[in-house]
Amino acid sequence: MVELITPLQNVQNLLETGLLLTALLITMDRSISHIIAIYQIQSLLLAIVTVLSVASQIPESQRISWIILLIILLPLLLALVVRPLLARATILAHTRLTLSKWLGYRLHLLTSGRFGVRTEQVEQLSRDAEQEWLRPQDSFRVRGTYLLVFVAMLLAALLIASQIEAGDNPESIAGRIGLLASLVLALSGLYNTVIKQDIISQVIGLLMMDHGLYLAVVKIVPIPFPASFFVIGLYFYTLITMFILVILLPGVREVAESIELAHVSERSELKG
Amino acid sequence: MNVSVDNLPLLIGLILLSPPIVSVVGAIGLVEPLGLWRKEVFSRVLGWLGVLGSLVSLLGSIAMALALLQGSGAALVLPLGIGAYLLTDALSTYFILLVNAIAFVSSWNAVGYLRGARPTSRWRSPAAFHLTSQLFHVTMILVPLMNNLVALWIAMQATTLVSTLLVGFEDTRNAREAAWKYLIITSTGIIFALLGTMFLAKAAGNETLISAADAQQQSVMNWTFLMDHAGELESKLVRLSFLFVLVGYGTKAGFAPMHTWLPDGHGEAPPPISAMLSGVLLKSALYAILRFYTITNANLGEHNFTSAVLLGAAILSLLIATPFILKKNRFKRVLAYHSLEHMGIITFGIGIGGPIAMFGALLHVLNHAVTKALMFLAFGNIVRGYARASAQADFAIDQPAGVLRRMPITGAMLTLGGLALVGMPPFNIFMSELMMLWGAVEQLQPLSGGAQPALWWLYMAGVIVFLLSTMLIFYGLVRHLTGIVLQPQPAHERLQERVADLFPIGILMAMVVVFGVWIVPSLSQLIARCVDIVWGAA
Repeated sequence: MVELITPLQNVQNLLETGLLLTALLITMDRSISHIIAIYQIQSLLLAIVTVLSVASQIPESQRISWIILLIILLPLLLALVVRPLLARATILAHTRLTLSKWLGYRLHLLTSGRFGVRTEQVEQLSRDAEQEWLRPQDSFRVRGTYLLVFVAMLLAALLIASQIEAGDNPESIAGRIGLLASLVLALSGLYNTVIKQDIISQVIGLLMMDHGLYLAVVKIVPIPFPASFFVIGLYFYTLITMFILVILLPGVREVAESIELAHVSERSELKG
Repeated sequence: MNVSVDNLPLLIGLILLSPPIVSVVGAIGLVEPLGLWRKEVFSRVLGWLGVLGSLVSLLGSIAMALALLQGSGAALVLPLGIGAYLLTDALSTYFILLVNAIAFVSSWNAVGYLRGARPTSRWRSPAAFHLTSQLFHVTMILVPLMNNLVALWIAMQATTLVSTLLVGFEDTRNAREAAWKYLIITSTGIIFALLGTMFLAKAAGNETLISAADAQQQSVMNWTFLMDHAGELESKLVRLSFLFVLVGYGTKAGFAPMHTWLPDGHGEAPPPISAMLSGVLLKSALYAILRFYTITNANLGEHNFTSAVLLGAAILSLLIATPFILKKNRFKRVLAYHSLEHMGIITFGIGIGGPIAMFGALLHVLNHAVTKALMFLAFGNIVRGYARASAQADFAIDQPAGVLRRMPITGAMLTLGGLALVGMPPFNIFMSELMMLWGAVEQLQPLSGGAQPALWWLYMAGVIVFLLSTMLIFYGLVRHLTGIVLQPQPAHERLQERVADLFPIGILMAMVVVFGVWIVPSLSQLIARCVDIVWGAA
């Protein structure tokens, strides 16, 4: 029996299409500031899509599982920390951004400096880094190539998604867009780590792959169990991502003396 | 020795808990008010504690292997609560044994390697090194112990995180760059492994299977459960899962073209860590692939699909590794490319299939681990000896010369290890490579109906590439070795070779020689049981 798509599913599909669009925009853009902003929008969209997807899978008689709350924390956390951490790595600021400062940074808006946090310190980081993040856009020809590759990835992801979600009912077609979005995020994130010319944008590519992974867990794995193990896996993976942002990226930036990959390769002895 | 299967939980406890005790002691020493990390005595005690912990772990795993062989040999599945289960069948026991053997010799070598090293900071001190390397040891033991395939992925990620700290330990420009490349590339690869695992979860995600798992109080993602119900999984998804897992775990195993982190990571890490990375970490990723290989074969009822994919990966790895071994390069990078080559050889053996080639491939896992560890540790001792002699604090010498004259015992072991590595008889690698070739020839024989087996052309291509590459790498490595051991040097006084430093590489040398002519019967039985698990599903 064919079921009609509900308005909620329509909203979900629209947001998932929005995720595809953000992936395309990140791929086509060279300005690091823009890329970070689009990534943050992508994180918010992902959090909303996650809530809608999981809520629609749970029978009305059950309470919302704690798994929903755990999954949405991840993109929200990354959206919160990505700009200051990337800025810190770009200009090699030695600011120790401890957890209390982070909490205070956000709560300051409500409590007027109760934690004594200098939010201007965090804002100043981003302003200083933006000088290094300015770069010209690619030519139309180059962007055309990125667009073609993106379309190829979209088709590949569609092929894979169609293998996973079989059937003609609208519910499964609706579910396919989400699965498609997760695969495209993973593939385009990988593509970004290859084509981008600086280490900051490469990391954004990796973070985009993280988003693909979060969405894939929601779309592919039956909840609530064994999803719980997958959620633990996602948290562990996010821990590694944080390690890259906080420790490894500044370390490489320090020895590379630039965020440009060309400079890194020129000075590198790791060849052959 | 009578060890009952009832002792297994105790043995697993011993294996898992001995190394972390060192990490805990090390962590206490790093706490600033105590500041023990500054004292050489503390670092040396910690190092020897690590050796003892690794030895206990090794003895525990030997006892575990004997217990399994004396018993029915069936898997023991131990519930840990929260849906996690530990698995101790022959395959996991074999890999645990391998991890512990290499960890033992590496931790012993590390004590000598770090002797006299001045700590530049808390996190770059010998104490921090011993703490982290024991943690690394534990994470690698966890991988083969996990029955749940998602927990296996998590354990693999844990090995990635800890090993990154060790790759970048020396904190030079090259080390930081190598650590960066290692983590970025393996992290992107491992995402595909999780996607593959999710596809398998989807394949097993129907109500019937979930209810059956609940009834048996298991997770639907437990390997044992999936093997019991392999025929009920959706085949399309199982194939997709295997492809993604091969890309994902294949990145970690160093398969081409995802191998670009390998020469940097193995080349820049301290030698005891290079031995662990090359010797066992690559094999841990291969272990994960083998678990999915068995499920896929059991589901499809045949092995042509998995064989085709694995042979393709093997041929690509062999073709890409060989030119880099022939090219003049720093010796540790050459050894790293050899690891890529040998992973291609092992994958060739698994792809060929059949009990003989499979036995050869699994034996090669051990033989390569032992020989590669010998090479890295011996070379590390040489570089250290030369650096101490020239009193260079930064140990910048990475291409010593005239080694046979200045460090004859270590030099001889390096030379013999190199000859073993390129497959010369009568050493261990020759034995396992011969078995794989024998298995390949057997698989290429016409079937009972007189027809050629399916994919014979791919098997033939694999055999040709295998033979060509083994011949070419012989020339490549011998050329590099000649420069190191025979090339004359202005200074030729003999350098000190301490017995304590020679012992670990001596143990490895003995294994390289003995396993070339004789395989311990218990070990042979264990590998045969592994073949039953891996090949029995096809």
